[in-house]
Amino acid sequence: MSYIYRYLSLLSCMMILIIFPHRSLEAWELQTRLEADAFIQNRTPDLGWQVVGLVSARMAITHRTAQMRVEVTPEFTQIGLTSNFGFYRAFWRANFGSHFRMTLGKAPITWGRGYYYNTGDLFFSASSSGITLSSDNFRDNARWLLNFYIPLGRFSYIEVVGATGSGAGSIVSIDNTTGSVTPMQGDSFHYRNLAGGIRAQFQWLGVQTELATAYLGEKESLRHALTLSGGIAQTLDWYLGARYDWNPQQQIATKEKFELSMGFSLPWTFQNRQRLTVALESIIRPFGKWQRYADAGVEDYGAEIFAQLTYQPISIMSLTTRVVFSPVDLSSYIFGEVAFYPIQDLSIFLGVGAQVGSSEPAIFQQSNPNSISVYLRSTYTF
Amino acid sequence: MKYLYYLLFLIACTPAVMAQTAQEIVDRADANASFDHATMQATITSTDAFGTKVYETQIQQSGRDDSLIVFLAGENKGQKILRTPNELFVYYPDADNVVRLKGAALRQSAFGDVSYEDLANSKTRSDRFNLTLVSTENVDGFTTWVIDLVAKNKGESYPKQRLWIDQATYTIVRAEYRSDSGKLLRELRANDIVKRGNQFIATQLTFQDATKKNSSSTLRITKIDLDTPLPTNTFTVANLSF
Repeated sequence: MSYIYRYLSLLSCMMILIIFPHRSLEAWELQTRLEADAFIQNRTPDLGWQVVGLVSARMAITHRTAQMRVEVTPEFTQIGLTSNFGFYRAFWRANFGSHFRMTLGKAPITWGRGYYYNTGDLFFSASSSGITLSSDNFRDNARWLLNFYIPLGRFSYIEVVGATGSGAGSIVSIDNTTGSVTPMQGDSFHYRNLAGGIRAQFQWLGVQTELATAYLGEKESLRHALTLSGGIAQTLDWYLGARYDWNPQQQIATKEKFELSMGFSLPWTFQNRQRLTVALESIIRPFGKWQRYADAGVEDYGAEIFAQLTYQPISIMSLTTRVVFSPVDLSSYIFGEVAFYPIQDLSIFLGVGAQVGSSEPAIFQQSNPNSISVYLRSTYTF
Repeated sequence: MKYLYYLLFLIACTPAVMAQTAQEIVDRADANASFDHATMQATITSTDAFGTKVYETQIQQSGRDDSLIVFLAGENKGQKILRTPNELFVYYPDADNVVRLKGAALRQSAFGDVSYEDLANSKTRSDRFNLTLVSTENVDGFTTWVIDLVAKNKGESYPKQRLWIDQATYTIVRAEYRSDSGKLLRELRANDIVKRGNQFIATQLTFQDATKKNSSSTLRITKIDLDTPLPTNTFTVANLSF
């Protein structure tokens, strides 16, 4: 445990150094989020049933003026006997008049559109496959970056980003049984792994249009994307996206990496406050694999479908079903969750996930076809 | 004799001056709730059978078209909602991302029984409804005009409405919201009227869900600033994600 205290002290010192120059502490806002998770699962037949516990805490410290915003969110995560320290967010953002805005530090890059599949999210995978479906936010990945945001009218802008490689989110990881300390950033700061991109977003015939290009050093790949989104008759919101990878070294387009994503969402609020939301998304890789291959990765397959149904009958409870389905081999991962909100800002989730349909499914790459996972998750924000 | 003609002329004209049409009354009430530029802080308390939730918000408005809601505390702290006539832009601070919604989200509940349409609607009531002046009535100590509204087009959340408008301040002090069949769905009571410049503003609005017992949301305006002009980029996507 002494290692934990040592790194907590180090993080505290860094926080004091950041905060000290801004002595008017009343201008700082604090928000703390605590999360405790427990998973019981049998994803692999040889390991049998496993119990995994996870506890995390993060505190967002924000200072805001009319032209500047500083946000520092140190994060501590304990998974089993391993402790991780890092920054969930740590950035400085400033407006330079109305001409442009600059962000420096660790901040999210969320390009494109899509809840589970998003081909416009060039710095990250288009698919969220592999992430547990108990999450309620599949895309909040951050990187160390320098970002220039140039507004072009009320709803249009150009954004230019230079970022580190995909490295781990934590700064250090500590094995509490051996006391070994592992730096987690790896080669993400190496110049060969750096990434950069530009996107333009504007409205065209009532359709929000996003054009984006990014170079990812670690993949030696140039990616291009087009994302369109809009609504139909104040009833339904839709999006459609496409991207492909171009390898400048070999002067070829990797046709297997041509991907399309699409989806829609339909929310209803009934007069007695009951709410129902339906969302359906799909990713299609026309040149991907349309048959089961033993050595294929989950992102090599031709198509995948994601569906979500959320029903909130009363204000303190909601029911959610999420399904990821592969039309390639008819395998699917089905997840059901009950969420309770007993008091404001406290959420408790109880979920069960099961893999069905194929002995070697084309989704999630779980080797146990009948695997079942039970999730218990609670979050409290204050 | 000349004075008698004057007197007869005045008597003849008085009803024409005093009698206002339903449209004039409702237009003045709508004008009362429309600001060139306004920054308000509001506490919204949403109560139902299972408990109470409190939201601290800042609401900025410009005319009838644009409004910006910022959550100041709680689980949604930092979330911002920009409402324009046909679109909703939502800023999610965790993802540092702005999502544009054009669909049904526009008609969804913003907090409890308060919808986005309650906070801002780009069209006046006389554009959207046929209006009939029914009677006058005393309500909660206010002398009011009672006006019935019937939607001109489909798509209104509440196609039939009845408004009680205070004759002294042209403020809506009570309202009933009904379905097409006439079923009562929601009620509004407003009080604590304050004067700012030439406008009267009800600083406490209580929406009651008539289909559920013990379900209500109270919007209490704690701070009003109608004097400070809003920066030109207030209702932009750039400001939303700052």
